[in-house]
Formats: sequence, structure tokens, C-alpha cells
Amino acid sequence: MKNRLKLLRGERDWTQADLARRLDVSRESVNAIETGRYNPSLTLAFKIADLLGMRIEDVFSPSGRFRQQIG
Amino acid sequence: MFNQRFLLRVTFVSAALLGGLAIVWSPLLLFGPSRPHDPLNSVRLLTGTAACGMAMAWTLFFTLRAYHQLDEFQQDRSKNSWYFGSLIGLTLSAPPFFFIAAGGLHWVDHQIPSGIHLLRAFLIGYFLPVICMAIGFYVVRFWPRAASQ
Repeated sequence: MKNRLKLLRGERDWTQADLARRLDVSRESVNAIETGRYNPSLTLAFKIADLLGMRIEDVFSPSGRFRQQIG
Repeated sequence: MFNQRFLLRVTFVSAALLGGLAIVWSPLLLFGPSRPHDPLNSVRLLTGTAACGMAMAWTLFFTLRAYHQLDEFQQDRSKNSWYFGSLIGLTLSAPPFFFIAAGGLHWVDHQIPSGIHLLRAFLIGYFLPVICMAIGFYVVRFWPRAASQ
């Protein structure tokens, strides 16, 4: 799964710690999501999209093999 | 610097460790320290066993409270670490287990005793936690509420 979280966070001038506090998660979790090491649950993904005022597919998108699988 | 979740987690882990140790050592207050050649005291034995059970229940309760203070990424990482870490640890323990069970320690140093009673104690000591962990694994695996989390 790809995401534009780092870009969108930067546009708002938030640090990872700011975003983590708003999402009630740890900073390392934000870092793991941004670097693609962790795919958040649907609950957290919706929470992120809601916080950014966007649709979930504007933040997250399938990538690589998964994109091929879903055609 | 430290958020509330982190502080709660530290508190729960501290309570788990310190409370568990206090409970498991509490029979010492009743009976005093034992010496290796003391005759077996059944009251002391059963009290110690019960205290150990209570200590583990206490520790489990607060460890679970601490676990629920983790966010989903940290919980996921913790579960992965326990699962795969345990598998790696178990795998690493197999060769030394065989070496010791086959009398390797006596072979290395003839001062170290060997015999059927020691072998039996060693086998029980090795397999008891492994079997209990396997049982725990299947309890959680087939426990509907746990599977849905």
C-alpha cells in the first residue's frame, strides 16, 4: 500500500509528533506508516483521512503486486 | 515528552513486575528462607505453589493492561516479535536440549552428575513451558473473541 501521508502532513506544516498526537498514536507509528513499513487498519486509515479532510483513497492507494491483483 | 499512554504503560509494567515478585516471595514472610537439606514441608510447598499461581495471574492482568495501552502498530509489532521470536528461540534451544538430555554436560565435566532422575527433571523442565505455550496458542487460536481482534 502506498500513501501520501508525508506530503500531506508537510502541507499542513505538522511534525510527525503533531500528527501522532492528533491521531492518538505513537510517533514511531506515524513514521512506520509514512515509510510504508506498516499498513494501518481501516479504522486508523479512516481516522487519518478524516483528520486530513480527505477521502481515504486520496491518502492511500494500492501499489505493485496488489495493484496487479485487483486489476 | 511522555504521553499519558506511555506513563500508564510504565505504571502497569512496574505493577506487574513488582507486584508479581512481592506475591511470589510472600511465603518467605510466613515460613522464612528454606535450606537445601530441610525436609519437605507440604504446607510450605502448597502455599508457594498457590502464591506462584496468584503472582502469575497478577502479572498477566497488568501485562494485558499495559498491552492495551499500545497503539495498533506497537501491538502488531509486539505480537510479531513474540510469535516469531518464540519460534526462533525454540529452534535455537533444540540442539543444546539434545546435547544436555543425551548426557553432554557429564561428558564435558565428569563432576556434573547424570542419571535417570536428573534426565526426567530436565525433560519436565524443558517441556512443561513448551506444552503449556502450545495449549495457550490453541486456546487463543480457537477463542472466537480473541480471533476477531
